[in-house]
Amino acid sequence: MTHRPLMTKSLLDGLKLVVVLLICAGVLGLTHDHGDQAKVPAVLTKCAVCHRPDERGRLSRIAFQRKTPEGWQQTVRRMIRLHGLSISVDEAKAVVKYLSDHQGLAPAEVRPITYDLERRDIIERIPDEAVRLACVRCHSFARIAAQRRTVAEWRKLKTFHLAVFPTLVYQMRQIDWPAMADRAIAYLAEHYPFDTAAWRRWPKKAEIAGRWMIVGHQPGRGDFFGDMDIRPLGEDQFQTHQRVVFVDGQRMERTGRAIVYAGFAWRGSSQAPEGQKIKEVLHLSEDGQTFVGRWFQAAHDQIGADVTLYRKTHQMLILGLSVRSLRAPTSGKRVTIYGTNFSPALAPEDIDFGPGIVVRRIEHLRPDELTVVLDVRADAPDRERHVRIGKASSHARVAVYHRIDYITVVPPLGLARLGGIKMPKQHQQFEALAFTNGPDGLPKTRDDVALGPVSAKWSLAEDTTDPNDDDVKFVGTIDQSGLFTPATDGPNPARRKSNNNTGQVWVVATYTPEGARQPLTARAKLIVTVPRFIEWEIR
Amino acid sequence: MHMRSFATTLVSLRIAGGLVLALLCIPLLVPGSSPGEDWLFVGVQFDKVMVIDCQRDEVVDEIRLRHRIPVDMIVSPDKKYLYVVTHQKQSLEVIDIGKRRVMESIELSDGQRERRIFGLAAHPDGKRLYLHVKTTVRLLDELTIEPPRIVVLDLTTKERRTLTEVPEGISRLVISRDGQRLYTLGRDILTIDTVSEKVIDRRPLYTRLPDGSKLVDVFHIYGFEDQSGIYSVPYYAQAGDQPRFGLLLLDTVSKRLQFVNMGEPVPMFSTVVAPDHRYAYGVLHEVVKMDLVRRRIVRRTPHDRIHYTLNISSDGRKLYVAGAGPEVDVFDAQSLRLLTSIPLPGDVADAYLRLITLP
Ligand code: HEC
Ligand code: HEC
Repeated sequence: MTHRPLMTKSLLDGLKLVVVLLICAGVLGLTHDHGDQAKVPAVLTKCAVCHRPDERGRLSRIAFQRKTPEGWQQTVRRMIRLHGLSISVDEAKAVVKYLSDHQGLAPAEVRPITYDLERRDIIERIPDEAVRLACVRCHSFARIAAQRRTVAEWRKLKTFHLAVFPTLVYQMRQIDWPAMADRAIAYLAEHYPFDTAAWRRWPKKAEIAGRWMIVGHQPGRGDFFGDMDIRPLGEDQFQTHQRVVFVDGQRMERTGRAIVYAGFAWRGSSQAPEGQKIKEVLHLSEDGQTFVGRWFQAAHDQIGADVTLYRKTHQMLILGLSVRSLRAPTSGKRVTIYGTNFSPALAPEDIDFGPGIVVRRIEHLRPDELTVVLDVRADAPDRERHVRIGKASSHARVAVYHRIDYITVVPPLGLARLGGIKMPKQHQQFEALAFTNGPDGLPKTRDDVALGPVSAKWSLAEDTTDPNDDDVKFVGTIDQSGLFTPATDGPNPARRKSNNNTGQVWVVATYTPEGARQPLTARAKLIVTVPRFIEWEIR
Repeated sequence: MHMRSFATTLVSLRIAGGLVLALLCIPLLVPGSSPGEDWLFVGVQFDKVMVIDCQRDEVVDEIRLRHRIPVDMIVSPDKKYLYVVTHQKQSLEVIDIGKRRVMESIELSDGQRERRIFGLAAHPDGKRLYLHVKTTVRLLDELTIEPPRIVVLDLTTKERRTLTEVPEGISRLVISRDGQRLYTLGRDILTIDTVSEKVIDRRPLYTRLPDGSKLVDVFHIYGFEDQSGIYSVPYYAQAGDQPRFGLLLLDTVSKRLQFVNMGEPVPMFSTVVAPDHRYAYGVLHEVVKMDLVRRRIVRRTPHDRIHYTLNISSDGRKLYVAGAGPEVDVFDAQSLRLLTSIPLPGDVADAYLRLITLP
């Protein structure tokens, strides 16, 4: 705005013009002390009512944090719940999408905490003692490590928590929380800064539509293979169609939808015609060629599968086998190889199972599935090997063994939560894995060879913590796929003092390998506890 | 789960304890002649204070509050008024005990500041209350706090002024009988001289106790000095790998602070000292009687209800015990037998049981 023309015109006209200009400036929020409203992205207009823009249009608070889609969703939900933000579901989704794309995390920043997004119950490794003591009491460490903030924004978390939870210091009275929080926040500000090269360099755009090959493993059910068609449905939105076959021969088809955030964070859901709703949390690798993640039941996120997707090309690709291990000696064993673009001209000698294994014939050959009959010679060495067909890239591995020496149960420590009345039950899936001792002949050493899951018999046993322990009668049941289903929540009048059905028990797997006389057993601890009353997007 | 196995390990101890008890033949309470009639006041969901006549152990009246959820309650020195904290701790309602109704409600919050009372005490001069106030400040795009402070409320003018800022974590205020010392109880105990209005002592609690053990937890949640003049709460300590527990006693008459070790831990949420100062009682899963002179548990009875707090009659014969349910359980202080359960029209809001003896 220049004043010179006003001087040359009549004073009255000039004053009129000034007034008009000032009014316009005011309406548009162009005056300097109100920041630059014009530069605020349209999707964030509703936020700008409370979060004022600075001269570059950066909204207070919002512009100085980065987080996962789940993190943004949680913040927006709080704006609605605590601060009276009124916004439609579609508008809120657009805000979460915009902020996750523009202020998200880079693949390398997400990787350490994908377990949380993928809803895996694991024991977290917390890199700092002050953070552990001050912060990882009410929520996971991942929820914090899934954020990047400026120093000022990290610091605001302390007063925020004190303001929102006035009783926090009483709950945490065993430590000097304010002092411990200062230390924790100093650590976080240093290790989780707002501005990182990883994010600046991340292009946030990748070609995703097309066909992808699926390799998966569902504990309790086994390995599966298949493909997924991904069709665009609007910007970063996709429609999906999946076909998979489990190694036991069962087939499954599902259709679904997904949104991709920041060019790599896949959040989808899918469903078979009469099946459970499945959630998909996958992340695309930096080279854009593989998605890795987990599919889980929306209602019971403990039940799910580890999944990898490979981009389908014109090349032959081997995904995996119907078996994880082969016993030596064996003859006439049928093994199916899953993959894509298998050439109809393949001959037995093209297929290489490594030393000591001879492919006798191809029994059946399709572009995506091929069954061979093979012999494992007695002198085949006990170790894992890649299965190859010519120069094709292969993800298929198989282990050879002469004897199964022991089994283990994973996870070694399980956690289930009672439910069914106030909250859904939280199951725990166990899996029995077989091993052979390897060259040193000793169990549980580095050179042991993993032979994959075996179908064990499952039972529960008391983990006696006091002489009258009777938890095993109350905590719940385990089925023959290793899935533990907890009992119902709330006081149980049949129990001493009407206790809840909580407890601590052993989960026992028993397995008799082919040809063995003695069964092998292994066990894992299981803690059955009360429901989690608040389910966070990020725990 | 932890608690339960803990409780069962104690079964065996209890049998041994019973033997010792029989042998000891402990001197019984000398029943004191009651100086008047006891009345119990208890806050009930959502907006009531129930009046219980302790002569009959019956509810005789209810006082309607102006706001919901009574959470803390103290009595004026002349026993004419009850000060009840309500409205998410943001209001202080004044009940006239004789008229059994709310006379006025003092609102602490205004504009963008939410002020909450976490502990209060009445000066014996009847003219002022001390409040521990925590303030949340609601800005357009930020929630923040102001340092917690001790505020003096002038009961005549209703004016409030800050006496001092205090560290985070204070949950109770206790005043000496002579009114000269105000104690703030949290991770530290601050002693404030009410005349000079200066903090004259700061005693960190989470350190080593005189017996060498290291304090790990103090339950400054409910503590009633009404009958005995001694504020008491359970503490838990660790001596090497030995867990210990005992009572923290703050004598409002002698102004002495004491840690009385009671040996192996029994989970307790709150405790009360008997008027004779010989015994104390604690509750959670059990009702427990402790001998403060011999420093040991003398009797305990498990109970299927969880109790959070208790108070004792002025003659020391009855315990009034409450949890989160709609009743006050009355126990015989000698035998720990349940005498009766007084039904209430709603759940106990926050287990403040004020017991007043009126002439
Ligand atoms: C009615 C006022 C209001 C509106 C509208 C509003 N906010 Fe907020 N916002 C607040 C307040 C108050 C806080 C501070 C307290 C808190 O974090 O909950 C805050 C804090 C935040 C923070 C910081 C949170 C943290 O973890 O440090 C973010 C990010 C945020 N808001 C994002 C948004 C977004 C995105 C929108 C629009 C979709 C929005 N807000 C709309 C009032 C508002
Ligand atoms: C008393 C329990 C408690 C403790 C202790 C605690 N938090 Fe939180 N925190 C919460 C809860 C509850 C929320 C969710 C608030 C909401 O969105 O409703 C939260 C939210 C958060 C968020 C997400 C805010 C957003 O909108 O993105 C971060 C980051 C966080 N906490 C970090 C920390 C750090 C750092 C510490 C330690 C200094 C800590 N928390 C200690 C309970 C706690």
